[in-house]
Amino acid sequence: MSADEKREIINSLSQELRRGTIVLCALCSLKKPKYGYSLVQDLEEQNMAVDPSTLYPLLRRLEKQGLLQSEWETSSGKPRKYYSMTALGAEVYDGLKEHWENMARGMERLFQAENGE
Amino acid sequence: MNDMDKNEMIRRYVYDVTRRLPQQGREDIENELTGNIYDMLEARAGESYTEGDVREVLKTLGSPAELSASYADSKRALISGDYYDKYIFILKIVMPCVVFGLVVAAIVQAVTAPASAGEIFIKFLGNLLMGAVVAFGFVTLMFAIFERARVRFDMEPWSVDKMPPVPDKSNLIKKSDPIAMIVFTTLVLVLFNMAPQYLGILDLENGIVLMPIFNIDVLRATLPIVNLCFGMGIVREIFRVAEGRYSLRLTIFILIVNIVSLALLIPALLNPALWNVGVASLLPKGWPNLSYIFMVVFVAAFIFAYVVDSGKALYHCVRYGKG
Repeated sequence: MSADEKREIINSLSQELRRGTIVLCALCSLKKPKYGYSLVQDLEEQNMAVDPSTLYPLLRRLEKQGLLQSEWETSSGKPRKYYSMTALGAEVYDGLKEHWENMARGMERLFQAENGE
Repeated sequence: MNDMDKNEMIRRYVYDVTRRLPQQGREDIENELTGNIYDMLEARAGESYTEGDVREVLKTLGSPAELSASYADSKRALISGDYYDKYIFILKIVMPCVVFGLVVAAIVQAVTAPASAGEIFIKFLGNLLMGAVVAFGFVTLMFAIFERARVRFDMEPWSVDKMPPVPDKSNLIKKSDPIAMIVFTTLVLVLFNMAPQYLGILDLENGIVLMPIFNIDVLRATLPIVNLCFGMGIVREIFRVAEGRYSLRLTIFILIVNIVSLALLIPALLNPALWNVGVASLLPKGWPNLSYIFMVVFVAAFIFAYVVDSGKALYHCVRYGKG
């Protein structure tokens, strides 16, 4: 197998990893109200880039679930739809973050255990 | 395609994404997505973005079909999005028409040829059930086919240059016309099939007698053709609603249906045996043969209706072909 093919496998599998973290990243970044593209930019700045074509529909879905609320902001020249966390969203975020931290600790333990052999 | 306005490209993209989505929430997604696209362009190339920039940004977002699917609530359904809206809309027209038509036919039968009330009622229920099931299945099947065809079409590789144009407002088909056609056709179909003898003239000379225009036996033999043509007519109207504008394929379909219908109906109508000569006796001697007049009027009316309909479709298609 060529180096390229190997890289391809790693890329596609790590993409799946990242896909699982998108909601958590989005919620975290939405502690302050943001609009679609500003969220994309902020996540990119933190090296946690998310595909816009994934993010935009996701924001609507989270809003439907009650985790986010939105408001059209028309004061500046361009009308923009701003999303922010609801109280439910904040609770869900805390819960998710805790799960994530537990998982990270679990993974650490697993790596250590396997390496120890 | 290269000199297509940059804004037009974006308009087409957003339209292509949102046209598959149900009516509710569509405008909000349009506005939001458009705003996001312009934000992405500004971040990429400031105020002076080129067509190349637009293409790149749209490519980043991916095929409109896929983006549309991720905006949609549920995954693959038999009938979804805007097709589902139209499907429900059509059902709400066709089902009441079928029921109403059958009710009227049953009432007329009960009044003029009273068998036992129970017998009539049972027959009516049987017809109602069958009619409703057939109509429901028919409409459902049609829309399932539309959905499947679109899914297949969506799976083809996408490019910025292959997006359909945003339809002109004046090219959109008003829903009221197909509604009227469907209602009219369904009622006529039910009438012809269930109670053709009541299509007639009141002869008030010898008491109150209803003289049918048609020879019932010959009419019954002609029914398959009538049903086929009128059935195709209903399919044509449903297609009109589903498509929403006079696209090339809709126009071709309309032309084919109308031409075939005329080709089948005219010879059937011109059959002298179809018309009840007894009707002629209603006019005093010296007047022209009334049954002949009916034949000519019917044939002329059908030709007129089909030609006007075909002409309208052709005109819209040619005039607004680009949009």
